[in-house]
Amino acid sequence: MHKEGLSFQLLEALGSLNQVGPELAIGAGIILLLIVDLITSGKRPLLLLVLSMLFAFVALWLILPLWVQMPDGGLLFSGQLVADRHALFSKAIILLALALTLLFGTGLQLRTEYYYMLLSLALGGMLMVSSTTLLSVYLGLELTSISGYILTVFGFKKLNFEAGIKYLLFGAFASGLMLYGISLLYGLTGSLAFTTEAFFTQLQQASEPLALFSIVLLLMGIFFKIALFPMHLWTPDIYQTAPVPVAAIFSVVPKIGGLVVLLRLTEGFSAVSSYSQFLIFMASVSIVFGNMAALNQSNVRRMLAYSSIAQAGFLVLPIAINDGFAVTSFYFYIFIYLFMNYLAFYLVDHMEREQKFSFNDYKGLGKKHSFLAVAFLVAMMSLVGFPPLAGFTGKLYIFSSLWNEWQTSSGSLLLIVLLIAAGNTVVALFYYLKIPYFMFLKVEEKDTSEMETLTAGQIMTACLLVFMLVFFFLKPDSLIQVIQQIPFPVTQL
Amino acid sequence: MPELSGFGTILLFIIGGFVFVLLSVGFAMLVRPNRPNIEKLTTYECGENPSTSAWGKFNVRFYIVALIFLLFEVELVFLFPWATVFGQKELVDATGGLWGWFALGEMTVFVLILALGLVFAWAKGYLEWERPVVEATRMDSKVPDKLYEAVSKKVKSIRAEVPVVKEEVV
Repeated sequence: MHKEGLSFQLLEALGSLNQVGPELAIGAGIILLLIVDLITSGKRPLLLLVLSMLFAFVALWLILPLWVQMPDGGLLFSGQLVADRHALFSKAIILLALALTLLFGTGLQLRTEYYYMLLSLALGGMLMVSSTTLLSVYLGLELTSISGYILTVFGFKKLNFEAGIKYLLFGAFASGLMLYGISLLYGLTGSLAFTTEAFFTQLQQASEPLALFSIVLLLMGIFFKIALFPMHLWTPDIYQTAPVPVAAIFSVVPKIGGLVVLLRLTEGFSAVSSYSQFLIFMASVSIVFGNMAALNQSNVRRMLAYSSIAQAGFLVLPIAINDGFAVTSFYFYIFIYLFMNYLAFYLVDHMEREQKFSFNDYKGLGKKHSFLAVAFLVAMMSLVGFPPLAGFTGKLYIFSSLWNEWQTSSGSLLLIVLLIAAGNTVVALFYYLKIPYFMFLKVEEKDTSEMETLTAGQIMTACLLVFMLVFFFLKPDSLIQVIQQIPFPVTQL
Repeated sequence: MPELSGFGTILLFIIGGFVFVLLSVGFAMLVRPNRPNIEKLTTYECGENPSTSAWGKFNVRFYIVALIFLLFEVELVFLFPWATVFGQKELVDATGGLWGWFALGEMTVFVLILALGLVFAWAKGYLEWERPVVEATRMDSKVPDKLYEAVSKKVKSIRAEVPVVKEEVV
């Protein structure tokens, strides 16, 4: 240890604390919630709900000054983390997702542990998006995974336990593969800090098959988090049986965590030439597979699960291309994805409380519950990518970034991918619009529409989400301007 | 002699481990007399005769205790190396005392969080070793108690007459 540098290192670590304010707030929140829960012996879920909402907003509020002060964001904690605008923007999305998830909670009879598990899931996601070494990536990934396994079980029915165990086994397998990949990469490059130049050059000098093999192993762990094709197997079961808010947060927080890690890794991994082809290939397979599998589902949440596999493919495409415009389109789409997915899950939550699980249960509800049906229509249209909704704008940006890249590069690979993606949007039309189709056009056989209407609070939340989707279609510039403040490339190699 | 990297040393250790075990077990195999019997081949169970397979289900409470044990184990694993560097005078001097405060602060946070884990387990009652309560089945019989007593007296007197045949347990 360099003793002269020690003092400097300690001061650097202390100074870093300023820049991880949001993480500290959520971390403190978890501990405080736990203590409050123990004092009230689990009898005040509403108090915990309010407190966790408070911490989510405090953390969001702490992001703002960091965004303004630190455009580049230096490395923190001896190069373990970074608080650049990529991290800050993603953290904001994660915290928004957390706040929206808490909005589900009011009617649910959940145990109080639910709240701090939710917060620790968000903390894991926040660690992932800001990590710059493979070690801290793994730490964040495990934090989201472990909180995820526990959250899946909430509901405490037999099916929940089954899903939880499945998730745990798949998760353990994926982290095993990932650790193996990390150890190989460490052996190849002698470094875990993947944003350094040494990592890049060492990887370039390594033999390509071995480098690609270890990268693929590492990616398996990340694919597991974002539910991309070969590691998607857990998705349908977990999305179907976990409590609805948990399924909703699974579809955003681990996903954005994994995707931003992927974005950061792409710079270093571009040393291996076949890496980006591999990524594009996996994304395309995922799009095709997710859409084809979703076509046949009868359960609404299972359909949403398969569709999220396809959406993950769409989100990986711009990362694989990795130029300024593509990254902008990625952030735009994931931001919009948050709102449209949450709208869908929010409405599904209401339906499931009325014991309506499959498409058949939705028959003919459009007449009596017109607001619900219209909100569903908006969510689904946005997920397909129809104007006048922001989902359309997001997909348009992704497609045009693909188009641009194809124009500048020579091969026909990107054109094929573009055609596959565009073709699959048409396929997606069939299953997404099944819900509005059943609600408006099908007639129920017997009168099952004895159903609670949405409460005023629920209508307000749904309206807010619908408003976001319409607003960002009309004024995408307002969001694009924010996103364009994020510097590109991600790491200055 | 070729230069060894850190990984080479680890590889040598792994190979050495395998070789050591194989050598000692193999040598013992060659030298020892080989006269197995049933007693020798059964599972060693602290001198008891094993009654069932060892692959039975364990009560989930054991796992909870194991998890709580892990809490302290992790604490110790980190406390030992921490304790060796915490008070090193040269480190403290080199940083103008900051080192001591920093190390103390970090460890305090760490130990407090672990302690909170213990408090959580305690408050939620996971430390209680709950015995399954066997509820006696209640019978509301319409037959008066006297009749029962009369019957059992009769049975007892019959049993006393019949000689008990002891079965030989093989």
